[in-house]
Amino acid sequence: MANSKLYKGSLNTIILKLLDEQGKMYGYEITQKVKALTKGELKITEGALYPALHKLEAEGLLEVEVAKVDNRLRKYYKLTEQGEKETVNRLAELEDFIRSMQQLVNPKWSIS
Amino acid sequence: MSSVLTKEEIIFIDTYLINTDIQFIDVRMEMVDHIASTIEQKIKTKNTSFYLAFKAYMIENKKELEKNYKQQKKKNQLNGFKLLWPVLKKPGMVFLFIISLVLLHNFESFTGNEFPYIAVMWSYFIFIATVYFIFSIPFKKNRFSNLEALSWVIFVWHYVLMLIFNYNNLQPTFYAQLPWLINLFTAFFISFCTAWLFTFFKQRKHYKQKFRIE
Repeated sequence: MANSKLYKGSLNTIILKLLDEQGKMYGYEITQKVKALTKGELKITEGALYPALHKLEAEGLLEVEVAKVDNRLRKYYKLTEQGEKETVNRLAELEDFIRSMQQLVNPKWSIS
Repeated sequence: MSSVLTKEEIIFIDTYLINTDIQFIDVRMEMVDHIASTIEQKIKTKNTSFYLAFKAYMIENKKELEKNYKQQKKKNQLNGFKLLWPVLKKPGMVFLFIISLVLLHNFESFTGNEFPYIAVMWSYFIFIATVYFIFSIPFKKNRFSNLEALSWVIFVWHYVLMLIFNYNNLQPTFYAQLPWLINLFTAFFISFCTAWLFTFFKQRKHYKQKFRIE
């Protein structure tokens, strides 16, 4: 990963956004999806992903579903109603942050 | 070669993690799936065997797995309080706290006797501790992180009660001097233990359903 510290603060929002798009996902699937979307630039480690998922679950933003798949139990995560609302808020916050950063780093260029 | 791992290979990964001292089954289950998915991907793309893929994975990740689990286990000791907080904030629990406080405050004027603080608190404490031991029996072979986190709450309360009542023994006029404080504490204790019971049975039901434990 180019600079993990830059991504760290946005990990929860990335997870929420992916689950909003995909419906339900399991841990490994999230790591692979992020890796594919960022063309290998961002690799989420287990040490960062699972604590983040458990925290979001404890906050009531995610709910889990356990299913038997390929001879093992698999834990799927999906957004709760509260999680769906929170995803909208956090994405808006992230977009504001990106906009502010762009104004600081490159005042002439804008995403909107 | 099929990349889907056999039941025996899954058991092999699980046993390896148990021997690495990863005890909580809910945490281990997720690790097993993650490791198995990674190995299946390696078998598929690199056409390697299960054993070689597993060995390569562990060489690369074992230290981090152990480190993460240790951190998680440490944090888990405080998780019981985090699980209880949303329940304590619920209107029903706030109502119970207020009702308990009002009743405690007026107990002496209603009955003419002093409220048996020590007997009530210790009885409720012993009750929740007994509930924990009896109702976690089906789980004994499987340690679940949230149930164990709730047992830490009982452990902490035990010391809080010991501390308060030992202090009280040294100061017999404690209740008479600060009746509002002991009423406040008792009302909180009653609400807290009730919230604990709700949380414990909710978590137990969750694990029973999700992990199909009879």
